[in-house]
Amino acid sequence: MIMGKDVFIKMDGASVNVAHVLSFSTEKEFVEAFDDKLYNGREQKVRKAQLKSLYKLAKRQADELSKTTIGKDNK
Amino acid sequence: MAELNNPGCVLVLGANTGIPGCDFAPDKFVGAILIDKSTIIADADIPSIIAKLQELTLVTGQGRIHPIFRFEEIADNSAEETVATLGYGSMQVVKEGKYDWTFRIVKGGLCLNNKLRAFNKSNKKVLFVDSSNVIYGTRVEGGITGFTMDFFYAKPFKANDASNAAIFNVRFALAKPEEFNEKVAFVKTDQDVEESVKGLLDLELVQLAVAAGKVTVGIRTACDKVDIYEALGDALAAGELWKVTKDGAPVVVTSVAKNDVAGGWDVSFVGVGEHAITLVSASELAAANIGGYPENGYEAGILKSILP
Repeated sequence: MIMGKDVFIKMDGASVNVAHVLSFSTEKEFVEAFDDKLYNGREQKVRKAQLKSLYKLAKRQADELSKTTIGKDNK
Repeated sequence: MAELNNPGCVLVLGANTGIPGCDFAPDKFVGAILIDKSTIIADADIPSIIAKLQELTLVTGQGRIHPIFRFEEIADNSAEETVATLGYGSMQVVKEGKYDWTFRIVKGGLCLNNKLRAFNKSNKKVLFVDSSNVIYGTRVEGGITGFTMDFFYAKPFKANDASNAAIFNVRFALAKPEEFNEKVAFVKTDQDVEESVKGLLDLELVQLAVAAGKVTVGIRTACDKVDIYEALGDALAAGELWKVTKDGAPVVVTSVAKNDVAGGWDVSFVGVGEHAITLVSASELAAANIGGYPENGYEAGILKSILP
């Protein structure tokens, strides 16, 4: 993957690439892919809840960014 | 304009010798700042010279300046002027002596000394700073620059002999005495220059663990091996502050997360084989409040990791 202008969102000690999160077609796919990458020190139930929140946050962020110049650049 | 048979003589009048009400003479030199020979601090930047110098400490590449402080002793080996005695007994000044100063540095130890020795073959200029926080350079069109040096030399350290601690000396041989006399330019600052303009600290990235698509990276200061996870754990859990490349080509960082168990950061990206991992530039880190005034700035080394 070649780097463009990356936008990250940060939540509770973790930072994820919005474009990468959005490359997963469903929340479930994202959670499965990141289950061993983020919030590893936490219980699986807690970790999954946090990953779901992160996915939703990325979606929201992407919607907001699409209305700005940064979002257009990122595309 | 060039002219035939004109040797360029001018009428030598000397100068007026009234004594000013306020004497000015350089105080003890307590530090120096190595600057690139092409760097000029513009007249417009003089009122905020400290901010300008702070900015230049964070620059990437040859424009970066390198402050050296805590000079505690000077050995002045400057040469006297050379005087020729002529056949009839008259004397003539043939050439001026050059400044040749060696300063003993009491902070930084062997590690700093080794860093300074990397400048021994460089072609830098130098600004000096005295104990009254006056910065000295030389006047050039449009601003001030550093003094031209014949050489800078950080000496090999002298061993502790049970009476004296190990000695670290740096030597500045200035090339042009007039730059520090007739062409001197000085700026009196109202800030402690040593505390305000600090050199960068190197950071060392170490691999704590590696798995498919993820490297757990620890970071410590390169000289004294102080782990910075505790201090910067949250700040560096930010994907935009990390850079990953493979064979020189940038690779997208997909996530960065604190790993409290390992005491490092889980850096994730898509790829297998050898990747180079580092942090963004010192100025970008400072912009994210990681290093920079009032603390030292940071520059990260490169970690090579092989991903399964």
